[in-house]
Amino acid sequence: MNGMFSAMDVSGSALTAQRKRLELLVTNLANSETTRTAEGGPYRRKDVVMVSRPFRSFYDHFVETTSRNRLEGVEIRQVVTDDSPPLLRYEPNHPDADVDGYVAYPNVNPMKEMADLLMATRAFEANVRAFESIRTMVARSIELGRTR
Amino acid sequence: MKIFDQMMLDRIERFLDYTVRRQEVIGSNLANVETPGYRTRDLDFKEYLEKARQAGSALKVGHGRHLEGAPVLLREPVVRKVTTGSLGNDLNNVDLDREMTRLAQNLLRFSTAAQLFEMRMKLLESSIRGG
Repeated sequence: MNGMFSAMDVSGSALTAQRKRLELLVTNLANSETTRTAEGGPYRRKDVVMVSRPFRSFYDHFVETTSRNRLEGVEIRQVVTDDSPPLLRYEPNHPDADVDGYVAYPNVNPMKEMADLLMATRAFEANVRAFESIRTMVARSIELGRTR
Repeated sequence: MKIFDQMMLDRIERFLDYTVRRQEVIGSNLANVETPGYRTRDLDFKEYLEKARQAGSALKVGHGRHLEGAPVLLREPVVRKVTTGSLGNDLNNVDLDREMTRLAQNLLRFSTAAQLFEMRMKLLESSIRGG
């Protein structure tokens, strides 16, 4: 039984991280044509930095465990802004056009965002499965004690 | 107690422990399917048993008529980093399909062992009650 609950935490950490990532990807997609932001200029693409994070399993409180054998969850360490230059489109009639008639559009490539979105969804689903498996195992373990 | 040995209960217990620990490792792999630099880990049953046997029994037998204690369950599992599989640009080698397959297999193994454990317990119970 020892580590089952921390195993749930590990899957949970991934669900949190992937959901945050999904939210950012959706924000990117929603703003793929936004030319004005509060910071000024077009919207800039955002991305996440994911880092694995060791989780203490129940046993770790009693015996020394080398870091090699720790469970590894995941967390979003940082949200970064993509500083690549904005895409310029020639639209002289647009109110945000510069003197040459070019409008700066966000550096968002919808194809890339969609691909990432798919990956994030898959990763989320996979972790839901992992979570469910552990839940099944815990429930079954409790049943083991019942003889009738 | 001969009867308990014959029931293989401790062996089933060890196998159950192994599947739970393996589940944790697979869970870690799945959590880090998108983490740059993360390497897949796995738990080998053979190695696990080997180390469990080395750990030996928790109780010392000082007298011929003392019962031998059940072997201690392994405190620290041997987790190996898997080096096969293709490394992506992010130096991560977690294969989603492989992990999902192992997840399903592992859960089935657990269920099988749990079922076996229950059957043995029922058998014991009916022996005690005389059918």
